[in-house]
Order: sequence, then C-alpha cells, then structure tokens
Amino acid sequence: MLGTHTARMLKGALWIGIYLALVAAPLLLLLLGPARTARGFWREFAVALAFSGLSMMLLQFALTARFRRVKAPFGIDVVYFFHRQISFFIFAIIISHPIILFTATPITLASLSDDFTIPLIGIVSLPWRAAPAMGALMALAVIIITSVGRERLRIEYGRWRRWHGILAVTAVVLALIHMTGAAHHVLTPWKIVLWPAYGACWLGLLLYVRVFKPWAQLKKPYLIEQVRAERDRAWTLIFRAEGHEGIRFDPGQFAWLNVWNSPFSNQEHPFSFSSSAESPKHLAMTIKELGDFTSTIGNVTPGQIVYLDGPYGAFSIDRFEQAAGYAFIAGGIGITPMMSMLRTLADRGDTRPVLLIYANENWENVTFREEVEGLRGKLNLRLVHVLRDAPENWEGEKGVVSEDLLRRYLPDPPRLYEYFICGPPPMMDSVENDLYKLGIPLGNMHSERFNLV
Amino acid sequence: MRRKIASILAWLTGILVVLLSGAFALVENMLRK
Repeated sequence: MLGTHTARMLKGALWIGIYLALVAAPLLLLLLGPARTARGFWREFAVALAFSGLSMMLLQFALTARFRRVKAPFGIDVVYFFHRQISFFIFAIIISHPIILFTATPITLASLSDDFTIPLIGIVSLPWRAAPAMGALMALAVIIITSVGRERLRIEYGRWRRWHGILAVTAVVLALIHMTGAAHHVLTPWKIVLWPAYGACWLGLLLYVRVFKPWAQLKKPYLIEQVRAERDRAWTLIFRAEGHEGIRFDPGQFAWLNVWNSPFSNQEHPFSFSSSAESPKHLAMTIKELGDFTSTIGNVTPGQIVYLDGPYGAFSIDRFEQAAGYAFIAGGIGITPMMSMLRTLADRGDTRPVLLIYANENWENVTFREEVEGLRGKLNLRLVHVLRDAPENWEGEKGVVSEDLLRRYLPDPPRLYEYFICGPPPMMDSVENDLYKLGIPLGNMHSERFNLV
Repeated sequence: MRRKIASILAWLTGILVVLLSGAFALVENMLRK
C-alpha cells in the first residue's frame, strides 16, 4: 500500500496533468480535421495564444471552485496562490494576441476589417469584434490591478470579491463573443462543438459554485452556542451542527464562515478552527477584530444560525503524523490554528515533545494566555512567550522571534521536528528565513498565510 | 515551500503555453499549405 505522502504526491501530479491537458486541449483538437487555409505563422501564433489564454481563463473558475478532492493534495491556499500567479501569465498571453496581430501582421489586419468597423483612436478601423476583445482586456486589467492592490486601494474584501466575480464572468463572455466573431477556427464542421462544450462546462461550474454549493450549505446550518470575548480584541464563536453530522476537520484547517447572510450571498470569510479536531460536534473559531467584517463578530448572539464551507487547508499536524515532535511559532492571532493543533494533541494524549514560541505585543494581549499555560500539564510542552513590550519584572524573552532566539530553543538536530508558522507576514518571512539558516529543510516548514488577496 | 512549487508551476505553464502555441502555428501552416 502507498504511503500517505506518496499517494498525495501522485494525486497532486494527476491534477496538475489534468490542468495542463485542459489548457492544451483546444490547440490539439483544432489541429485535427480539415481547416481553412493557413494564414501565416504569426497570425496563427497569436490565435493559438488567445485560445490557450481563454481556456486558462475558464480554468481560473475551476481553481477557485473549492473542489475538496482537488484541493486536498495541495492545500487550498496554494491553489489560490497559483490562481493568482497564473493570472499574470494569462494577461500577458492574452495581451500578446493583439500586440502580435498589430505588429507582425499589419497587412493581414487591414484585410480583417469588414462592413461593421469601429474606429480605434481615429487611426485604423477594426472589425466590430475588436470591441468585445478590448472590453475583455480591460476587465482583465481591472481584475489584476484591484487584486494586487486591494489593500492599497482600500477596497473592502466583500465588495472586491463581488466585483472580482462579475468582472471575470464579463471578461469570459466578451472573449467568447470576440472568438465567435473571428470564426476561423470556430465554425469549421465538427470544431463547432469545442467552445460551446467548454462554455457549457464553465456555466456548469458557475451553477455549482453559485447555486449547488450554497444550497448544500443552507441544508447544513450551524447554531451559535456561545460567543466568548478573548484577550486582544478577539472573539471565540462556539457552534454546533444543527440537524446534521457536522464536519470532521484536521487540526489547523480552516473554513469559510458566513455569519450575517444567506449562503447564496457569497458573503463569507476564511477563519481557522481553534477547537480540537477530536470534538467535531462543537466547533470553535477565534476571530480578531481587524477589519470591517471582523469588527461585527462581537455582535453575534447565541442562537444565531451561521453557515460553513470547509474544511480546507494543508496546515495541519495530521499531514505529518510520523514527526518526532512539533514546533509552533505564532505571532498574535496566528495562535488560532496552533490552538486547534495543541488542543487536539492534548485530547489524543500525545506525548511527543511540542515547542510553542508565541510572540505578542504585551502580556495583557496574549490571546489564550491562561489556556496555553494550562496545556503545560496536558502536553510535553515547552512554552516560550516573546513580548515586544515586556513589563519591568518580565524574565522571559523580549523583542521579536530572532535567529538567535530560535537557536536557543530548537531541538538538536532541529530537523527532527515539523515547524508550523502563523502570524503577521513580516514575522513569517523572517522566521522562515531564520529557520532555513538554522538548517531546517523547506519541506519541514509549514506556513499559514491568510492574505489570499 | 508549497508556494515556491506553485510559483514554479505557474512559470512552467506559461512557458509551455507559449511553446505549444508556437508549435500549433508551425504545424497549422505546414498542414494547411
């Protein structure tokens, strides 16, 4: 029988293969069968780029559709990261299409113009289908600018998400109209089925995400049992499955939480579970007041119904069950997934050594301070508090989590443990670098970054 | 680590698409002469 790790690698490779096959499929299919006359290398190259770009645009929807089976081998965060990274290539590929047509084949381009032309900057006339193409390009440009600069542009997450979806659908529809208008590779006898089939799959995907999944969530509500105030403006929501089995999650995983709206509204936000994976009937999430949505969490009342989509994520000790020990390095509210893992280890009676390095601004703002202290009695736990603004009589670590500090607490040899890091991005960057310098292989470092956009 | 691999995969996919498109254009021109 295959080991879990090998099975995961094979499944991951299979999904990557399927992705690449779907990207390449239109080109391979278009090569088959009869076609119209050849039109020169550069024009065919430009068209091929556009076809590949369009199939990648359609696949962008699949990447964020949260198919649990697809996400499992990678972890959903990394699939979203790929979605983001590949979008730059998609834009580059798509914009190369008009650039090549304009520069490499100006004469051919002139012959494209037909009776229904639109003037472009008053210089040349283009066929009507150039208008949807320009619209699609503009939509793609806005998508990228607003995604990369969402925080700088101060676009609220919910609004950004809504417009991201609308613009993405607009770009695809306009691109399909443009392609149908071009007709060369679309209207030859049997090839007529290719893009309608891609389009139908895409529509099916939209229905799955916008109708089927919300409907499934609606049938599986969760009831808020308790809302508990924690240190440092954080709130713990404790809820239970109402009329269904609930979900089993791996400690450290997260889910999308919808507190105030119907599942069809798509108004949901990702949060880690902070409860033990060994008590799936009573789930908990701990959320710090940081933004527009999170500042409303304190207003949630017991008895309220919420909806979940999950679990997701690869940030879990359960992916590394053979480890000799675990090191958790948390900054501020980054303790949340660690709490889930610590509580789970305690519930399981795990005796392996656990190191928790927990950095905070000051002693009063240490979320779960009392409970973490209490875990010393239940786990083989070495707890290291690091305070930036330490009180006068403080005998523990001061400042930030540095390479020197890590060196003093890491096991010997350090690669014995699996390392989990969650906190503010600058802290995570510096801890990852320091751990690498201390000889921890990249494969032993696991980071949870919630800045998906 | 996983992000680094995802980043490399994105690059490889981009390069593959350009190569495939070039191959398509070559073959298309050879086939349809």
